[in-house]
Amino acid sequence: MIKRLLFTVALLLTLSVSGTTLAQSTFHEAPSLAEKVTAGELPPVEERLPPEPLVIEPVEQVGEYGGTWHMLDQGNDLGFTMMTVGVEPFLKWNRDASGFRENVLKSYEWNDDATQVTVHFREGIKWSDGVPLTVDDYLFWWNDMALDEDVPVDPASGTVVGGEPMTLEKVDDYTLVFKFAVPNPLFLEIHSRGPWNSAQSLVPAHYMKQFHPKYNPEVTDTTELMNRYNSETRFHYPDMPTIGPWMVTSYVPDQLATLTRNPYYWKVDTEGNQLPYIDNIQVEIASGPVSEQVALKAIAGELDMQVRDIALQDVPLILESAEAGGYHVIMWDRGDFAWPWLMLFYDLADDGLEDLMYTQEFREALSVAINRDQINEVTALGLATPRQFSMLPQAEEFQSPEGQELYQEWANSYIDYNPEQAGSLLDGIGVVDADGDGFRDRPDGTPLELVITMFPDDPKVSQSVELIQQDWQAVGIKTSTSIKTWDEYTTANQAGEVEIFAWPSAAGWGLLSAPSVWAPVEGVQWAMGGMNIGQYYQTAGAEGVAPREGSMLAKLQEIYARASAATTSEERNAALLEAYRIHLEEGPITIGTIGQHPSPVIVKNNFHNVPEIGLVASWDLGYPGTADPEQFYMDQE
Amino acid sequence: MTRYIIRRLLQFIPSMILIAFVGFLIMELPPGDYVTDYIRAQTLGGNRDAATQEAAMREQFGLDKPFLLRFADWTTNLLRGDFGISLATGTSVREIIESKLGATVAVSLCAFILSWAIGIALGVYSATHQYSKADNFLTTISFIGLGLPDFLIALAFLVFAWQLNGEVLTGLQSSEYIGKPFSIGLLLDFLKHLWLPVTAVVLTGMAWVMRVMRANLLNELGKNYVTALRAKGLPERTVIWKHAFRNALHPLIGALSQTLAFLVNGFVITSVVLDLPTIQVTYLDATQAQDLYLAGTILTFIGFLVLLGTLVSDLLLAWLDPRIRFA
Repeated sequence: MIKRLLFTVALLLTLSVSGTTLAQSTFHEAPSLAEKVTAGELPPVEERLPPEPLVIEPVEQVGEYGGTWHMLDQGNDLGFTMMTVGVEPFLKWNRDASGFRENVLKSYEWNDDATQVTVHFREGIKWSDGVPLTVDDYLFWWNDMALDEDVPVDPASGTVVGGEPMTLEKVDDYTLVFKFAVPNPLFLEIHSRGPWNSAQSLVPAHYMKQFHPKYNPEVTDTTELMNRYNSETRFHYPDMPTIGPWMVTSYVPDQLATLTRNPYYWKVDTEGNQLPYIDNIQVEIASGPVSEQVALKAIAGELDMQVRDIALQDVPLILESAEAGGYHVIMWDRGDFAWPWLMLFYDLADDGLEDLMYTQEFREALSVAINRDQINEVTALGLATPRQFSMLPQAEEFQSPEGQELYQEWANSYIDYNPEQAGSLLDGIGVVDADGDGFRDRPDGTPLELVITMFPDDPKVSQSVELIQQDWQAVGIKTSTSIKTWDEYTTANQAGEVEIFAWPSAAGWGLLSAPSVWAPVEGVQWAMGGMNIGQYYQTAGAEGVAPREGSMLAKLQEIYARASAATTSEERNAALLEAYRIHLEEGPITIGTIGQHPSPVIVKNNFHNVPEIGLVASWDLGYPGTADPEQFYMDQE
Repeated sequence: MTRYIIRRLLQFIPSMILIAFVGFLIMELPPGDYVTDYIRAQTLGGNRDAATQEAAMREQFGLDKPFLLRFADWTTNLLRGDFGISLATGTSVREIIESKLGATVAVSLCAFILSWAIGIALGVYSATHQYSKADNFLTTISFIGLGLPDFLIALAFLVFAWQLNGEVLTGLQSSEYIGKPFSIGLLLDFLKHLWLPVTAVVLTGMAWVMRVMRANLLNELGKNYVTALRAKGLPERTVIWKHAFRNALHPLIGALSQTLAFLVNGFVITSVVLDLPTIQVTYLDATQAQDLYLAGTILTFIGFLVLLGTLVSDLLLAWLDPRIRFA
């Protein structure tokens, strides 16, 4: 009898164990979707998922299905929503931004000289209406939107290199070959940044064609097509299919957008549960200054998880009500290298000042005369990091021991507040008070006055600039400020009339994101040194102004050329470190203030799987999309 | 009288063209346009490739055409009822305005009617009970109302309401009712939100009406004809309401000319602070973003309402007071 009982127990155990293994080999879905399958409105989950769905490891643990996530967006462009549900590029940043992982692309192979890459789309990904995603969707974007002159879409960066657009060759529905005129080794990474680039290029061709004049003779202009393509309007169309975890179900301008789970989402957790966990997202649209609305709603406990736009100054207030509101605040990182950073210009109409800018002691004096701790206390509650202008520690090139060492040195160079040293440096180069008016003059005896220019609408920049102005005045450099709009700044920059510009928060990432901040290689507004010097490099000397021969700027341009042509990451990282060393040894070339500001994130206590790391300043990095919001979950009662 | 009205209406045409032109011109004055603004915002957010789209975007929006040509295009379309598209959202300006008008007029009409009704009643009471305790009290209230901006009062109410029931009453509806068909629950929810902006605006609006009413009525009550009427033995009620009150109304009727415009463009800051889905906020945003056609259309619309309001108030004055008829 006992034997038989034991046998039965053993049998049951075996059965239940095999039951679990059986369950693991199949997929699970949200109850709301299971109902629809039973009702015959949806095919079963196995048919909706790719044969090999992408497996997402949850941050803490496997979650529960259900819930509605309440958040607030900045305006009708639904930018925060896009950063949450619209980041599904070819490859995706790792959760800690240390590199890229597979996403829409399952794998890819480069040829040896990096002029050709064969990419393999994950088979079986479906749009939210059930139509399969194939390379034809991407080809539609490239041929019928980017290359079509009637459609005002310009090709994304990286797709036109060496002056020629890439060519695409379809091998089969899931295989595509990209060919470039010159080596383009970082193409896939560059094309995978943020909610734009490939995340934007992957459009549902079967849906878009009805708005394209080429496919629908009734359509005469491209407004409707562009509305569905542009990132700030595409979420206004609930009928537009998506491959994101949630899809828009309604949109009321200035008030509300609602999203619900995409039944065809192609990712599962480690136990085979189809993601996302959370059923719905409800996005209230703020008008006016969003950070105030966020603070209000947060205090009232009406936000489940909010990444943007929480002002550091509001944190003490928000924390006061944390207990009553049932939430806590975690600190992500803005990932900004500085806010603001002082761009010095080396192409000036004023030759005497240009000479001074090229003098390293002068720049050093400017940098050590700044009291960064004071800026930190006044503008960031002391929570940011005083640092020199330097790239971010997370960047790939800093991951070697040599890179780490260089990073430490660079980030900490010329940042200790030392007005005496600044004074003696200035004395040493003949910048002394010659006429006895209390301010230092140029070496030739003529008066010296620096003008710091800034945009009108960033209070943090203007507060910081005011402090810097006081610091510089204190060491005898007469300083004034000037406010310019984007257009005025651009014109003045090109005319060599901007001496120093205080640029707001920014993130830079080696070659991947805005290389112009560390080397003057593009004729763009954020090009260090000045637009004309960048223009000179970009046009190979045809236009613009050359940097002084043998100067640090010339060296940076030369190293940039080498870094961008490098086909291996070792070669590339070595070149980048070489460039950064110039910034260290001949620096500062651009002056940093404080950076790496913490970025508060409001999380309800019942909201889980939010990672500790997030870098939110540059949308190129795609947070919170990069943190895989599909695996966030809310406790269900 | 009819000829007078027709003549006034005809005068609208050149005024309207002028208003539209100035409205359009103002949008041109700041350096740059919608596209530069857009690219700057994108660039600062990290999308540094946006700049490559500049020329194409300008072409799509017609911003590459010269100013006068664009203005001519826009005004001819305007006559056909086509107000153009909003550059920011790509939807038609007409749709945007229509979708906002309901909420806007609901709030402002309530605010207007209440502030005038209460303001006039209290003003008359104050004037007829000059220097009484009640008058002093009302005067104090009205000075507070005049002294505090409505958005500040709204903010105070917002905090107060939150402390009472833990809800943040921004907007005009709770999110669960937005975009839903009409129901009793929706109406109650709407009223729950409506009282806040309306009370804030009424407090300041009422104060002004009350002050004007009180001052004018006091002025009239001191005149000889009032003494004469009283001497004739007319009841006080008739003296005040039939004679003095009518004469004291002039400045208020004159101010009515601004009322129509107030209905779509009053209390901008309150709207922003309370996150109301009203046209004021749309107009402010459109102006800041240089969303040309949207801002231009709203401005022209407001201009039209000012003209119309002036006509209406002139007619009302003429009806009220025979002395100024056809003067």
